Amino acid sequence: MTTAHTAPLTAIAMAAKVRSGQVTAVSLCQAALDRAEALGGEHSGFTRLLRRRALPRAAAVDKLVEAGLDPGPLAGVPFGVADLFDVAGEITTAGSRTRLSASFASRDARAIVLLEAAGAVLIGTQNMDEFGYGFVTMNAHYGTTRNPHDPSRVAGGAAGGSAVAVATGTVPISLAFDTNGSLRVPAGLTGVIGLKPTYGDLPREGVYPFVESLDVVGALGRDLEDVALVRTVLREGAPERSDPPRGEIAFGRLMSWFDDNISEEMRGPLDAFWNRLGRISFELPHSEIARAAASVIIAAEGASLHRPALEADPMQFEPPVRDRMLAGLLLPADDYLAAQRFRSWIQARLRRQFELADVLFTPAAPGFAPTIADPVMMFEGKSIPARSHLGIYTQPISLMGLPALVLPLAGDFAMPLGIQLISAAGNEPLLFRAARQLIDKGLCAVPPPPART
Amino acid sequence: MAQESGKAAHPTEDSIAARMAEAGIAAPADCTPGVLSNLIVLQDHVATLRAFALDPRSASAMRFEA
Repeated sequence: MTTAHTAPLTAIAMAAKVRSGQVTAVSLCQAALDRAEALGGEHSGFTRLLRRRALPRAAAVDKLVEAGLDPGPLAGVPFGVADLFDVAGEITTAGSRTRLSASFASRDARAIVLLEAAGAVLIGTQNMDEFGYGFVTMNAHYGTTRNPHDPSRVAGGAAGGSAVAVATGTVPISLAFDTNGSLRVPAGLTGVIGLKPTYGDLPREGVYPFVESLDVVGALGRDLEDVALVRTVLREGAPERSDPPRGEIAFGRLMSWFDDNISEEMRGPLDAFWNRLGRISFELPHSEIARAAASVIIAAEGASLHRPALEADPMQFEPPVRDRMLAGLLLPADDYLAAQRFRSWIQARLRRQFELADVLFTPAAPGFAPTIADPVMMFEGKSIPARSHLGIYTQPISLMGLPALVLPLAGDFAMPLGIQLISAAGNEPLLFRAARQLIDKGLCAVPPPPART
Repeated sequence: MAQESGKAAHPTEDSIAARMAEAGIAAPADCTPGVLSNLIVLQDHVATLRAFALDPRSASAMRFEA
């Protein structure tokens, strides 16, 4: 990894300084905008900076503080969103030029409204794979987002811009999405924390859909409590589904599908992590079928959603996305229904799995981020495109609808390595407690933002 | 010759072109090889699914919560 800067302020620390009048929201947002501009699109993760929107809103936060009022727990905290969240007055591109002449969004996505109501300030939109269909954030229309720990490598995707914006310390938090690993894969490859909530837990209103039966809104951050706070804000006080169990957390490593195709650079650190947690392992039966079902659902739903654009001009899509969607259009309905049926079946079975362990873990991705020049990885002994396969460990979890939290493994590695913690549906508080325990034990740590070389 | 029951025939560039035309998609011939390779991957996934004999009445295909 490149030489590191010191850790930037967390969102919670920023808000505390704004609320106490030590710094202004305007200065925080100005600094974030300036840093994003100085880094440039490829390195900051941003596709659009919203100065004219952000600075007056930041000034409004400062006025509340001056008036002795509380702007909220995220007072003055700059944040970004993947470019599929509606931003009033902007085109939601979803990373595709097929949407260049789409209407302007009439209002902000619900998640943006909620964060801004808590005092945060949106400063820009972030790069992604076209329509979220890919794991590399190499976008033919909006550019490639580079990994800050080695700019010759991919950031991962689909929400790579959102992860990089956080990994570089440009903003402390980003809102992103996760269909099949979209935020978990880049979180793992860029060394930040990524929350993929239980399906349906966080508001999707105003977020451009891709695969409605898998899409979730999630968050990326450098600090665990920041990510937990964003979740709390986005849930609008909804009660938790269950109380997290007290006492010792039982961790278990998932094997078979989740132990195959792990790269050499990941295996040693993962084994060491497992040893520290007691070397308990579990099987998650039918994971390969779950991945197959997820792939069928994505292809069919994605193709159906974009059918009008495919009919109008398929050549407007990036070739890899176009070809996958056209193939999806040719899938028989019976195969799609079989995949959905399997999804229901495995979700019901999984409830019993968590009677044996509280938190399961897997790698977030097979190893280090692949290079941009040759974005491939090894799978079943063959070199295959990373664009379609980096999410081999995240895909089955999406189909099951389970919450997952990605954390960077602590250690002096050439590139970040992430682990994925998984709990029963609705058990995010347990995930956060487990993550806190791992950080406190020194097993997980977010690396400081690397300096530009 | 009839295919073995339950086993799908592999698509070809010709069959892809015909199916896209039937689906109302006018994609240039340049797209056909890419669509073909993606459809073969999807067929592999479908074969994995079909090999797991799940009784259609054992689970709903229309339930969307975790």
